[in-house]
Amino acid sequence: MSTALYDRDFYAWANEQAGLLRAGKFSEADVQNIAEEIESMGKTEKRELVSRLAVLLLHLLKWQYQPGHRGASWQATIRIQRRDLRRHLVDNPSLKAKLQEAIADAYGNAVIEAGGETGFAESVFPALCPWPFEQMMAEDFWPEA
Amino acid sequence: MSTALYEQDFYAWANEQAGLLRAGKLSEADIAHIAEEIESMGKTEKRELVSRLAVLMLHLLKWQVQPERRGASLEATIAVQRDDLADHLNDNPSLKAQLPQAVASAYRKAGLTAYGETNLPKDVFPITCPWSFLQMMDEGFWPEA
Repeated sequence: MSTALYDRDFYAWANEQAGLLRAGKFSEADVQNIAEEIESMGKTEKRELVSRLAVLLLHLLKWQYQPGHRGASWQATIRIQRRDLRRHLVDNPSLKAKLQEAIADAYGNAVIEAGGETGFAESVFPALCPWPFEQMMAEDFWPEA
Repeated sequence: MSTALYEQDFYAWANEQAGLLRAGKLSEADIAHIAEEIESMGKTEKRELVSRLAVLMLHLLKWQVQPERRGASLEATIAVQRDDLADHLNDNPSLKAQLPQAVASAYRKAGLTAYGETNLPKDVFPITCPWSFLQMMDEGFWPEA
């Protein structure tokens, strides 16, 4: 019943499940789908880490490879991404264990985007992320060619 | 323990809770926060309804009051919003019960935005939504001044 509702009417399902959990009626609750939803919230946090890293890396690459285009707007984007990343890791400290994987993933996206935005061949950019995490997060780090 | 983790490390909390739920260890799970998260997913669906309605209404208002700006782009935006709204209600049929309230709330946002974006006098825009939900969703409905 509840499982079918999950596929048919998510809004009704969510309200029903919250009610069942609060009433302690665990045997009536759709525990498998609740578990899936909660797990997917965790995955959303991880995706947000990758996506913020990709924005930071894209702008660091452009900063380094297009010195003529440097300006207040790129600088602001880099500073804001650093702040948001720091806050995101304070909210989810266990994500730090995923940083290597997240950086590799984000760097791949950043290179593709940097190629598209600058018109440079992707091979112009290093194949692997050239900066360790602490360096890219340092407030006074502005990469030079 | 789990309750504290919810505040300290959401990613770790989500993974831990999904594991406890799947293992059937509901007595160890952080049921109050799980219920809160599931309920808030339902609220997100409702907010999305309001926000999609507001976008549709904004474009219908522009269509009505700026006949000189009518064109393929505005027409496509309206058609796509109708489609997305229909899909959203299909995924959450019980949200239909919230439509009167959602329409009223969305119209306030749409009216203000239309006023801001068109630079036309405020009294050009009706105070309450001039169209029924079915009318707004009707593929053949293109409001005239």
